[in-house]
Amino acid sequence: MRSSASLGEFEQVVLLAILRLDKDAYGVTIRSEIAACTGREPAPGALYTTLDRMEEKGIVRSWLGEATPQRGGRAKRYFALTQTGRAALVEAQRAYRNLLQGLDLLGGANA
Amino acid sequence: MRSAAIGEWIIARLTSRKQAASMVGDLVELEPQKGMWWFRLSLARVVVALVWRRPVALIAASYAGLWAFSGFEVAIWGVHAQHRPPEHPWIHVLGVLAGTGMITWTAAMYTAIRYGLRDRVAQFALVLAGLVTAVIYCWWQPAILATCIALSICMLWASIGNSERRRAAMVLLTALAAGNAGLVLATYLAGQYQHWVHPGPMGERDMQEHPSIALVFMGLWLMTACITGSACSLMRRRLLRGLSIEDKPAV
Repeated sequence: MRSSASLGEFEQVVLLAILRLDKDAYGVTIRSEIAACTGREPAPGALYTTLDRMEEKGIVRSWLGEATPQRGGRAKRYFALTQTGRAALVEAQRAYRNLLQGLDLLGGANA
Repeated sequence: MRSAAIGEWIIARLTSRKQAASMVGDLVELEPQKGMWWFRLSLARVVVALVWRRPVALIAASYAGLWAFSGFEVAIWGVHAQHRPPEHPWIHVLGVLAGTGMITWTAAMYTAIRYGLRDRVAQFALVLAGLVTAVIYCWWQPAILATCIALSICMLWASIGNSERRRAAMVLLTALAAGNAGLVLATYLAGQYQHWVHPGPMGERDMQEHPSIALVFMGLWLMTACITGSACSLMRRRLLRGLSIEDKPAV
């Protein structure tokens, strides 16, 4: 069954990074997690507009955390997946898994 | 830091104050590792990423509305439309429909650029604009007219099917109502201005002698496009926005 929220590639990358970070997912950590896992450092503008768009769609939710002196007294904005976001991500990843079935893309000569 | 405060003030004009503070806070946190120039460049990139869609969408939407209306004008009152007598009673209805079509194309282009083609409001607006265009161009062909009416009913049925679509339809209808009200006001003001500058009928030569009339017309049309776009953004934010920023984690 198709979920109402379809995800683009970058959206999936951001959602997976949020999942990996669990309770410590905010702008800086999401960015560095993506850079560490993919080798690509996302532009700050692209990351924030993607997060805002996904929040508008109800895919992620955000809340304000503590303000620290390193941030000039500004609060961190933490992100977490909603049920809709999780369902959309599972669906997207299932589609990838189905497409990969029967292919030795991640093993053998390509590993 | 002065540049951080200025950046935060600018970003707060484009999004909420809390979001602006958190974005700038992220950049401030990374500045010791990345350097001052990276910080300033990132700040500029965030501002550009937040702002670029609005002016581009507005300009493209204004152009799309004018372009659509010029096509409708030719189809309804143009030379090749002579086989349909201009005194035909439906001509007045088509004239009103042409105005609505102009606003619908404006809303469609605005939402498609501002929110993308996957946005429900943009999808509804594009379908509606297509239907209005088909009716204006082919109103004398019963089969096409019937198909358009059937598709409109299907669209209406689909739009009340679930909450998200209902809200998207409400956003579009409000934007169209505001846009049409703006168009009526703009037409009235344009007529008044033209009458004030040059009473009586105007030819091409008179228009060249009074360039301010064309400028005022263009300004009033931009105002109408702004009203349509603003109504759309405002209603979309109110009705379609998911969970907004909270001060504590949701359970």
